Amino acid sequence: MNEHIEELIVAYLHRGLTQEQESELFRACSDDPDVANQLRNHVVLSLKLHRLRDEVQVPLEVRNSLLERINTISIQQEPETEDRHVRFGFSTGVFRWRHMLGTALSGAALAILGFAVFTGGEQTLQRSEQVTAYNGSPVTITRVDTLYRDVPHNVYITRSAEHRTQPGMEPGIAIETPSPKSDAPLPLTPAIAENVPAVSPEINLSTEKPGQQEQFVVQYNAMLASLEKVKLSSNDRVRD
Amino acid sequence: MTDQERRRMFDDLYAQYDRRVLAYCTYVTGDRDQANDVFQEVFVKVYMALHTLRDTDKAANWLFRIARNECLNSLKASRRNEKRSVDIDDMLESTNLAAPRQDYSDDMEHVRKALEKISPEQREALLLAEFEGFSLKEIADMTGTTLSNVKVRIHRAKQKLQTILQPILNYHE
Repeated sequence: MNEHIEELIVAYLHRGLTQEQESELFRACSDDPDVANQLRNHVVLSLKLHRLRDEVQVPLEVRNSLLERINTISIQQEPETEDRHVRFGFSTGVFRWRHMLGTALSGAALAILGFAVFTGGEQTLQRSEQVTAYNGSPVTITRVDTLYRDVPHNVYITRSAEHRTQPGMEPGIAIETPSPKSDAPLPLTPAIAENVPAVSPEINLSTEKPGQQEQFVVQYNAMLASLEKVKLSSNDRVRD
Repeated sequence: MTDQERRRMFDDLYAQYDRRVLAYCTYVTGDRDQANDVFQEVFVKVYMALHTLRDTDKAANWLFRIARNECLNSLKASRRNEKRSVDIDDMLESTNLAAPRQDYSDDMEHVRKALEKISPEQREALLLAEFEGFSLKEIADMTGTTLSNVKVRIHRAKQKLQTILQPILNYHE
């Protein structure tokens, strides 16, 4: 068999021929049956090698071992993902610019919000009921969390009617507490309107453990301290 | 690349190439256990280096380049220069093939043994061409050699196989 033809056959089967070389091979096949037979043998060999490849299966223990390693690497690499944005030189500058712009925009938004909230007149997002606190001060109850401003009189901020009811305060009234600024999680009870039956307190201090009671008191006091434009005195602090 | 994207890409690559990579590793290394170890190392390296894969169309080339390097490293580490025979029966049993032994074709046994008789360079080039269908140019790039060298290696590998397997090649599949 012509060595050149053999090479043409091999190259033909692996996409290594130009169009001219393909034409040459096909002419050789049509002119010489031995060449055609040799090409057929090569094709049969290829098919047998493909079958050899297809018989292989990945053992289950090998697969599981690999996936376990990948899961471990994945967990270990999680904190580094954020750093990658900084490592690539081409993105560092863009990240900085966007970071600064985002910081500036969010700072401006907070300033505007703070200005509107704390320097304006009494603003409420949603007004539902006007009630009177124990000392006669008007208090607005809303059904969504909002910041209270410019309360001209001292008010008591209470948690639930059952445990925070003060003398003179009508039972069944709960004043929704403003969103606490501290990070401590506070389960808030929803505000209720006048003449609505008292809600069950989310926090029943009488049954809480002493340590938790103290925690709640600390959280309340921290929340009180974070309010602005609310004139409070030491007598306003919630005590056990 | 987020961790989720990385994992998704890895899962896709694994689903598509797991058996093919193991087959390549098995017949290049000639040893089932060694092939299993190399297989794991390949995919760990794939996972770690996924962020370097820019063109997903070239994923096969990229992946088998890693597989080839790992096979070479493993062979160097084990210092095996002689041709090793694959314990086919053990490998097939461990892969949970349901077909009983009498259903295995003798032809395939001949093909496996014939592969052992060609040189590692010829076997590597042949397997990349036949198992994965890479072009001669792609194989030249992956193996760091010239196109003509690849042609010669594959040509000589097939010549040897044709000679050994002549009796069974006269029949159609």
